Amino acid sequence: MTGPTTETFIEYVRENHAGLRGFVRSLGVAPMWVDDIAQEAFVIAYERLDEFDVDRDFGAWVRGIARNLVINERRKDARRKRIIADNLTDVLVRSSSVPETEAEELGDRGTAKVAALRQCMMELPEKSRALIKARYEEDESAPDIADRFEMKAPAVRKALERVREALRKCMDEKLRLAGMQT
Amino acid sequence: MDHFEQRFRTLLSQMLDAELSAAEADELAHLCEADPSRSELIRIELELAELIRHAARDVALEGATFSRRFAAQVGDEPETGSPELIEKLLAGELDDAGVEQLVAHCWRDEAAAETLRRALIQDDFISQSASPARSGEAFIDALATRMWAEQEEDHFVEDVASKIVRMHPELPPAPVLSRAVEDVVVRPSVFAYLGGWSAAAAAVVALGMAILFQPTPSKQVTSVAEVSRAVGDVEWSEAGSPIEAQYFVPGSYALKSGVVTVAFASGAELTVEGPAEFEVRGEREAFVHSGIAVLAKNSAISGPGGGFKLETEALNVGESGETIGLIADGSSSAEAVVFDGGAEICMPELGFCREMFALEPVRADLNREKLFDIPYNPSAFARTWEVTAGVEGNTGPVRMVMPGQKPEPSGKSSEVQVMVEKTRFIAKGDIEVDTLDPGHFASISAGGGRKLASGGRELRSYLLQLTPDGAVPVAGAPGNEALEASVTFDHEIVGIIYSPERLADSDSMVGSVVERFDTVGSLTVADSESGDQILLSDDRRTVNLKLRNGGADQLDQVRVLVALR
Repeated sequence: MTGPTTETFIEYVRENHAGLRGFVRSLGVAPMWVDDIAQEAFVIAYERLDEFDVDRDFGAWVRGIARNLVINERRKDARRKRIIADNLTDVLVRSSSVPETEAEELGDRGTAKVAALRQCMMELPEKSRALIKARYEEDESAPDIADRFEMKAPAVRKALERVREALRKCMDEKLRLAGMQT
Repeated sequence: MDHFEQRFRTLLSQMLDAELSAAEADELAHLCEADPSRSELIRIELELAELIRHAARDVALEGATFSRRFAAQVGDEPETGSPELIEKLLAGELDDAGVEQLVAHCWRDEAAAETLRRALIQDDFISQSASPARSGEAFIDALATRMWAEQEEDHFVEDVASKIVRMHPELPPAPVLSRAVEDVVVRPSVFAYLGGWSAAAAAVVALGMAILFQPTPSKQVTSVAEVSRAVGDVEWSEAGSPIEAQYFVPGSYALKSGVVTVAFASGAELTVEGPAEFEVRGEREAFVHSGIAVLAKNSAISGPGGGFKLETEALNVGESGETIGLIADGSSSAEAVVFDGGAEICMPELGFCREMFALEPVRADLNREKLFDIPYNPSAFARTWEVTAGVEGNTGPVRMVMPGQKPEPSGKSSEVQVMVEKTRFIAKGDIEVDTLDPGHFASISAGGGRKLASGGRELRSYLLQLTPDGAVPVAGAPGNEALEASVTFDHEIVGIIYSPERLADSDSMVGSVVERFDTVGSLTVADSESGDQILLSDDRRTVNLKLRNGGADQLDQVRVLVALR
């Protein structure tokens, strides 16, 4: 069996990075370490590229690698862990199904979803966009955002919840119109 | 649920997760004594835990099947609504007890775990969409750098980059600094070269969606650093030149002459004086084989990527430290001096490290297998320091004062000495500066001032000091002619201070790191009769001075504040 080429690997990365990062986060990895673990998974995948059967789903394969990396985090001492909590990761890992049900959802579609979300964000009212920017781009906490926007922290959380829900609906709608099931 | 019940549930969860301390076990026992029904609940939960343990051994019970069976064992409803807990988790505000509660909920309800996972995925997608630092380009660029760093024997990135260069030799690479300046992360990567973005994104395009995250269609090379300053007769060797003498991809470079500052995408700046041979290994790593170099790590470097690694054959500089000078001889020895901030110097061959303090110089010698203390003599760094300090050029008798040295009389003739007072700082309040209209010479005399609000900007302060030759001035006498000098800075000048009161007032704010000239007993500004004049250029980069030697006990000083960003 001949493994994929470097060029093919580059294509794999392009197609799967967004979904892989979402998948890693869904296993309870702390937000700041998500990209780190996703990159680690790609590096391992590249090192083992000869073992990969091109007829298989690369996304599922690299998700499996990432899943093992996350499981390994449990064995680290608390100071070096990249997960939020052991028991949270336990329940999330066990409820995840890497190769089968999530292959489509988190594979190529991850990038499509991110692309759709970007457009949805531009359609948000200005204040909602500012809230999202403060939370996700500037990584501010709800109390900090509350101070800046002269709101109360619970109101910020509620507002963010509503914006996220609006984004989810918008994204689903765009993908539906595009003929992609959500 | 009252406080005791809540606490009982928390401790119970901890016990089931084998995370109960001895003190907490005692506390749990007390709670059970107070209410025997709690003991019964513990028994039930332990039975269930054993059931789970057996179930987990069964491969067939992995995944959804396992969750369904587990959920069937437990019919309880959660105590707190999971949406609320999920929102707190997404906001990073869920405490340990909340996590326990959420986990318990997910164990009880398979759908809750699925909901949580979807919420986390969705949240990450939003983060990828909203944050330039998490954009696809940024991720792939970081991955490419990491792969290069971790696959040194492999030439993954180099191969692809060189192939692209061969394919498109006429195309310029991306200027890495534009990202920081424009606050927009659109940095082409080697991946982008090979055509468009993902198939999924393409599908969205095909469906008429205007993707905001458009790939850069041009065919460009990933550059991890670029030349931000070049001083003197800069010449690169033919085989070791950056692309277009400007852009660096990971690889080896040889500077034959001149001084250049290599600005890395991570924010660090390495100023190298030729002749020098060095490697750019990524956004956060460089290796100096030979030559003189000063690394300004810049406190801007932060985040998961860590600090900047600078290495030579003989020694490595750890990720701490702010400004560090290196002299590498190309083989077995190297000197290092920490100009600013502490740093860790390691000799990896010998397997030991040493913490260094500011202005502490050492020499590493592999042949003698030792790290020696050496006298502080920074003169070898004079040219690189001038560039590192942000002085683009000067005219007239101007001399840079090295870190750790004081302005002092030259002993020959008057000169203007320039010292960096504080490399970077954010003023905690307004700074009173003297009023000066750009483009017009003005007398240096006490006059109007204005408040400079830093607005959170990072500033750097310089002190320009006329050091006298000791001669007693006689008005109109030969030899007492005005000293003319100019200093051009690489950042915009936002404030100039020359009046004694404002100089004194700003001392505490600027916090000069070096004690000033010893003979300063009566800091005075020459009055208008002395004819001292100052001009701020229209582009606010250059200060021109016409100063008269005021005598041994009189000193003219000008403080210059530039905005770094």
